[in-house]
Amino acid sequence: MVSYISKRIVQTAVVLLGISLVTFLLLQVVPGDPVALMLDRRADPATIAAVRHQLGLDLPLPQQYLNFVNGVIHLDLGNSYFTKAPVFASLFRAFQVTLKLASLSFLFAIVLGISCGMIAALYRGKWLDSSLMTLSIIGVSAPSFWIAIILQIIFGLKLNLLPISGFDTPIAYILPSIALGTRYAGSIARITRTSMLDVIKQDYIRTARAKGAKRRAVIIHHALKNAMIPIITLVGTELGNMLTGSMLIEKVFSIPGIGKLAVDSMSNRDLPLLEGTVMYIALVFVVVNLLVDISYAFIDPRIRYGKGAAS
Amino acid sequence: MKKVLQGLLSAGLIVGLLAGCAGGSQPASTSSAGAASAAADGAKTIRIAAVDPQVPLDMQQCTYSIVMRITDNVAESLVTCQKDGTLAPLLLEEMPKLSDDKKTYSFTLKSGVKFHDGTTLTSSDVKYSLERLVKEQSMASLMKYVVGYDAMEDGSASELSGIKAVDDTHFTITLSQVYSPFVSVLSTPYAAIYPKAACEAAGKDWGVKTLIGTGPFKLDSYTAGTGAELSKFSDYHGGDLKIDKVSYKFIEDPNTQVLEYQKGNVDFVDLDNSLYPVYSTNATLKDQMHSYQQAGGYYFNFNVKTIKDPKVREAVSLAIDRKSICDSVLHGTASVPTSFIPSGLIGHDPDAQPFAYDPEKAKSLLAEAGYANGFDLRVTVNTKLSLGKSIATAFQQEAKAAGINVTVEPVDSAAWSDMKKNGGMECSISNWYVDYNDPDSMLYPISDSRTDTVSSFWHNDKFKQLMNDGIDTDDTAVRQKIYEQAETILTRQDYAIAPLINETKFYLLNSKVTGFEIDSTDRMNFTKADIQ
Amino acid sequence: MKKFFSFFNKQKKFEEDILNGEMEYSSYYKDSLKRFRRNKAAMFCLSIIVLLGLVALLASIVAPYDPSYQDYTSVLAQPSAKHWFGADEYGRDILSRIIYGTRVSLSIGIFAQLLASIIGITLGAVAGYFGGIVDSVISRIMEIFSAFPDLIFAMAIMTFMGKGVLNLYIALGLLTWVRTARMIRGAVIQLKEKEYVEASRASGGTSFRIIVKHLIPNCLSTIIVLVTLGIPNAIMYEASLSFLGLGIQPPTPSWGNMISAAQSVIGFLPVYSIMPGIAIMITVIAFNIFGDGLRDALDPKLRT
Repeated sequence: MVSYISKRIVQTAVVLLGISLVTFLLLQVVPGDPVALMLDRRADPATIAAVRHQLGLDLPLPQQYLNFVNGVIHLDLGNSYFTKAPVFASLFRAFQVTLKLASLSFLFAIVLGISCGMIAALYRGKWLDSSLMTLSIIGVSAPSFWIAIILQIIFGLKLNLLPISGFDTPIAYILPSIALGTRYAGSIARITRTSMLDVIKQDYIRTARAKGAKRRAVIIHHALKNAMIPIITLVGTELGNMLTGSMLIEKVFSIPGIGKLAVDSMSNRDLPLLEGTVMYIALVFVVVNLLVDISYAFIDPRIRYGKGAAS
Repeated sequence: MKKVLQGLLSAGLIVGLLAGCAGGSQPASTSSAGAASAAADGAKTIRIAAVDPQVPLDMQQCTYSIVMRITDNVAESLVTCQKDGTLAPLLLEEMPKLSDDKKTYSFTLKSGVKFHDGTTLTSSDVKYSLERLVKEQSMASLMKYVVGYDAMEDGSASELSGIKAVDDTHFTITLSQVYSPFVSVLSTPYAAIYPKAACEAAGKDWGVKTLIGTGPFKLDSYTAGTGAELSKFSDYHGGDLKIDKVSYKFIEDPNTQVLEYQKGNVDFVDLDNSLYPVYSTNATLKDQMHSYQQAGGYYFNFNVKTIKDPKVREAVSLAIDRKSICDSVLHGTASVPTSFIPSGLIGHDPDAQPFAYDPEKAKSLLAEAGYANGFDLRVTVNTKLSLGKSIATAFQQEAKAAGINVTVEPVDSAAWSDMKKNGGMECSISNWYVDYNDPDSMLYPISDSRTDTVSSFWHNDKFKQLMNDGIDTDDTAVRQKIYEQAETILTRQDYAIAPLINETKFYLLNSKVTGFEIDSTDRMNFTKADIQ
Repeated sequence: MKKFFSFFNKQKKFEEDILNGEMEYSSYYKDSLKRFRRNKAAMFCLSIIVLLGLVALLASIVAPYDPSYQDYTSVLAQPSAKHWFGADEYGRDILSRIIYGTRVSLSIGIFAQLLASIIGITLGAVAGYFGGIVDSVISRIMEIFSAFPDLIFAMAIMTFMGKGVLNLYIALGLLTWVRTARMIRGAVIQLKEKEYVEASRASGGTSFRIIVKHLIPNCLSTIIVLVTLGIPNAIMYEASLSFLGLGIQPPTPSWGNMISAAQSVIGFLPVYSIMPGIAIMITVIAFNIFGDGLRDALDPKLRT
């Protein structure tokens, strides 16, 4: 296990290096000059040259990249061209916001998804089942930004119940969390239902039922416990997705999280900030994958099934 | 039953575990909740929807108008532009006196003007601030006629020798040539006066953590992604202020900004012109809609290297149905210009006719120029300018009547500035507004030294001569003649540019707020504002 | 090293099943078809997809107006007999634009997926077949692509190549090939140990021939399911990119850029935002259920 993990860490480092290089090269080929943008209305060649020199953009490209890598090794991601603030500070601030949004929408998705999936499975084939499943597939298929806009209008403006932007009060997170979580709630509901039905069909349920236990208690006890495994797997990867911020939702609700930071730094061609953001997102992605892989090694569904049947 | 509980518990446990990270972050969110409730203590606060500038709040470094909207209340310039377009002293006892050779200005500072840090404004602060303007590069060219500018730019001098402090309240500025708009230049936000000691001490934090000026409001905080908070400066030299706080809330999405206004969470919000019918038909909001005319507007900037024949440029201009764009697409919120120099500025010809729409004539001009079978035109628009996009979309259809086949090329701001710089545009929808009320500022983007940097490449000796003559005299009647001539060459002879529209800008303002206006140079002033 | 790929467990199971099915090739597809026909929801969604396809092909006949015709007299007109869903900010008929938008969405879904499949199948098959250093390099490239924030990547490509339908196909194709490549790679690794591949290799078949003749046909059902489920994904991406202003170039209508434009007038003309959203939803639902049905039919044991 240790050698496996250390191997993975080396691979992760290679991937991160590759990503930083891709980011660096992308910004070289994409048209757009941060300095011309920064100087705005009165940019002229002499001024641009002077500012480029200040920012070290007049160095040869390999030198610029090596300087950046050297900084990363010393845990210094540099300063944003525009805000002049250290990239670490900006990332950390955005991360706190994204973390709150991610946790809340995550909670929303799990609670709603699991309960809908459970109810649907218990009422399999009834109208409740089909309407819940219709709702969940709508949730999966509607664009999140569209849901966000509709929520803003209904709950924010028409009913005047909830804030429609900002992130300084806990209730401000409600609408963005719902908009972001709906899609995940939909997939969790579908998975919960499927895995519960699978479990219901299994023999040990019939056995437990033969013992005379109440039908519903049996299903909830055994089935939910086993259905958790595929859900946790899904949830693991989706947490990764959420932690990297949603550019669309953050745009609609004006939330300064990781997603907005990424879009802004890309549209400003703010290389240090973009490198930092992209590397953060990639790191979360890689780490989450690693954790999911490791958890696979630990949780083997079949072993659990055996135990469940014995109890 | 026990088993049901067990099952629910295990489910709850998992949910709880997963929510663990959420719980950990909760206290942080409540601690930052204070801002919204601050209004409850009886303080008069005006809340403004703004876009996060994402740069230091310092117009000498970053010349965005969204920065100016905040800094204008904090830092002041020596003179100010009044509503009628004339200048008035702000930090000065009186308007500066000009020497007989018209090159040296003598200034007397108002005595006892305090900065927010308690220090008193002196001549050395003025000298420091104007030199810093040159050092910070962005708008250095504003000082280019001051003696010593070239030496400072090439690094051989660290100060502007033309600015001399006589004593604490008196100083002189000497120019290398006559430059009649110079006092106007001093009214711009770029020429804001900062306290030397504090600004030097703050270094890179200037505009980020601290910003000190003589203005009516102090900068309390500037938080990225959140907003900027200003509070009343009790020692303000301009008299008592009626409001206590100005709070800028950064809301990225313009639609969300308006929704926040409708919910009553902000008192001021800018409106996009395309939204005019939405609000003009809304019974409650139409009375809260205000407008102002910013001197300037939208124009086609032609690349004369790729569109060489002036006839073609004239044909493009004739193919634009400006009136339909103004009346239908922009719902009457814009007017068809009669000249590039807008009314209210020296050089605007009041008798000029609106630019014509004549697709037939355009067709025949194109035929004369050798494009009888149609002409392909690539129009570049900046995706940040929503009006530009509207004009391009409408023009694309209108141009068909004149046999012009338009391809719209939308690019983002970074690519836009890059293309301008590299000459990569064929025809772009640009906009320009004056920095100070003078034709010299209006004509800046097409002045001879600029055209190579904005993808225009237009050079005309006569025009260049007129531009130089225009700053060489302060006789208004003479200047009027000079700039009228320059205008004719620009838009009716050479067709270097084609003015498109002059738009009216709109904003929604809470009806309780009084004494607030935005002037023709887009500057907001809360000195006289009050909340009823 | 084997463990590293453990998260393909699910896929492996899928591939094994297909491999087993391969032994009775023709009856496998017959059975699948039979199973699919029994799935009423999937059949219904298939008919919706066919209908959407017809609307896209016959847009010029179905749509009441030219989608880019600007009627200045009906700027922001409310829904009426003349304009069922109203008219937009340039007086263009919204219904017609939604109808023409079908063309954009479907073509993007299909062409982006085709491109993704071509890249994915090629690289996946090459990596799986050759293994070793080739595999390591391709696997790292795949990881870089999948860990790179997708919208940022799309933004960069769209800014680099310029906005336009063709460029959008390429951008989305480049964005979504990794999943296909992973699956094909896994399937090929399994397959290449099979007897007939060994036999072909022994009788002197070239690598290219073996891949094209034996490995890829055997992954066909995996590919079919991946492509079908990839289409709604690409449609969503297009909508998101157009919403961010990075998608289709004006005046070409796309559902995403319609929602984006409609956002500012949502209180005034709500149908303008609601209808394109519903169009996206119907299309995505249809492809998702159809894809699920296809997967269940091709491999009844596989469920996620």
